[in-house]
Amino acid sequence: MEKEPTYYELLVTRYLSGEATPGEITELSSMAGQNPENETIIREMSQAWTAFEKTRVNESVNLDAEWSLLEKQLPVTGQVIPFYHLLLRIAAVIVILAVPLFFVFRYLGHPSLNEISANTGRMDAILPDGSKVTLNNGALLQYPDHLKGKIRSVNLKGEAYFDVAHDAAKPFIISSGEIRVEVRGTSFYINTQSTGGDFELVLTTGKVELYFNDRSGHPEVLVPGQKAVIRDHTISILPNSDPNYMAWKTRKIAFNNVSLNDVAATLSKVYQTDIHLGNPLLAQCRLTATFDNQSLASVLNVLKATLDINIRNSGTLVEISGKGCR
Amino acid sequence: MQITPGLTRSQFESLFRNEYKGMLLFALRFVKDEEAAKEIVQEAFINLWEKRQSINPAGQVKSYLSTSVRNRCLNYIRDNKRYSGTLLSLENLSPGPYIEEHDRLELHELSRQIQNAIAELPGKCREIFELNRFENMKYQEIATHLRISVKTVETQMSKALAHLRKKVDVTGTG
Repeated sequence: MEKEPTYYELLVTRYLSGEATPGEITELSSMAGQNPENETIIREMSQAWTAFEKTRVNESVNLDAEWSLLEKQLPVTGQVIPFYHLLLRIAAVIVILAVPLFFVFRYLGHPSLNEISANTGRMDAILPDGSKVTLNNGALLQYPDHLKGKIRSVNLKGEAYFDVAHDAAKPFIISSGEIRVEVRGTSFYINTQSTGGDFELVLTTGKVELYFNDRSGHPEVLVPGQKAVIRDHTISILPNSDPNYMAWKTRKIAFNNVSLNDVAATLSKVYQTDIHLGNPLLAQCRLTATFDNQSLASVLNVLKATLDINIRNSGTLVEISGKGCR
Repeated sequence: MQITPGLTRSQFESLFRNEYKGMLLFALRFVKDEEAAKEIVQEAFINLWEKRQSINPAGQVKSYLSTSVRNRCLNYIRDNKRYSGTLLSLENLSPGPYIEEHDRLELHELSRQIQNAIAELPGKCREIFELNRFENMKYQEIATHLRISVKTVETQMSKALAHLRKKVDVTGTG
């Protein structure tokens, strides 16, 4: 419908959408001033862009969320306080002092952290606030009694899927070492110890904020379908490319022209068993198939029939052998 | 109502709720990165809160705020080597503080025009534009996501914008 954009128009678009490099900005700047026609083009494109942004910001910005983000950062000291405010503040100090003491006494009395661990396969649990969690084999979740208090704070080690009950007033914060994941109500997959030792999070619905405990004012915000990976104290956000990230929970697996190597990796995660390829050429075989809640044995039968391979399943180890593919 | 000078917390909150979107838009015209623009606007509000005792709520709070946002934006684009006086003046961003007119009817009409214009875009072009603007994905991320080249993303973004330019009546904006 539109004619092919000129180099200059591409540059203007890059600039407006925040993709232009410093060099391109210099280049655009000199092209824009070259003649009146170029001036008109950038002015009009910029007006159209701004008009669009005006409606987008108006419709998509969540004022409650932005306000609560700001509120957290407001310093509380250095103001002139009317007398009754001062009384309130004294009361607040007493409460603040009382609360930690209360916790100390409770802690001495009996451990106040509850623990759920999945040692013999997957485990589903419902937390006191109504949030649902599925732990994969080996995962450990700790949470305080009743999840009372201003925030709902839990500790996680391992792999889990959360479906957090919505409570705008009480953020749900998952801690894993120095990493914090903060949500209001949403669902997502998380693995604090993925292969290679990275931290991974895939967002299914809603919104999560991810940050290090010493940088709570600078969260990374994820939107559904995105995946966050933390490696060497750096958060990267990318589109999630693994359609089977939830298969360990749902037992629904879809392979679309996937190499046998990746098939084996997914299956070993879902069925908690080691899978060994006897011949490097086997990794080059590709599989397209879907499985819905099938046993490992029946999945292996499909593999055997489609890829012309031999499979030996000893219960703890699956060995695949054959000529492989080129 | 206010007897002593200074901004109360509730006045501050309503100021924030009234002005936040306008200030964010203003910042986005300088700083084309949403997260950075949001951070700048937050900082300007925090700075206003820190100075609240010397602020007269009946006075020019808004122009104080917009000047603060503008200066922070200019510093940011300078520090990040994104500054160009020519582009700022062509985008009409050099003079004076920013005044945003809140005309709901006008905004409603604009919104309708823009929705129509976007609906007219060919499927792929529309998808790319929406991923960039609504999902906050960079060109490279869209290219990876849709398994297309960055060049294609760039061309489609430019076509989408050309269509908006043709279809949207921008008199009174920008």
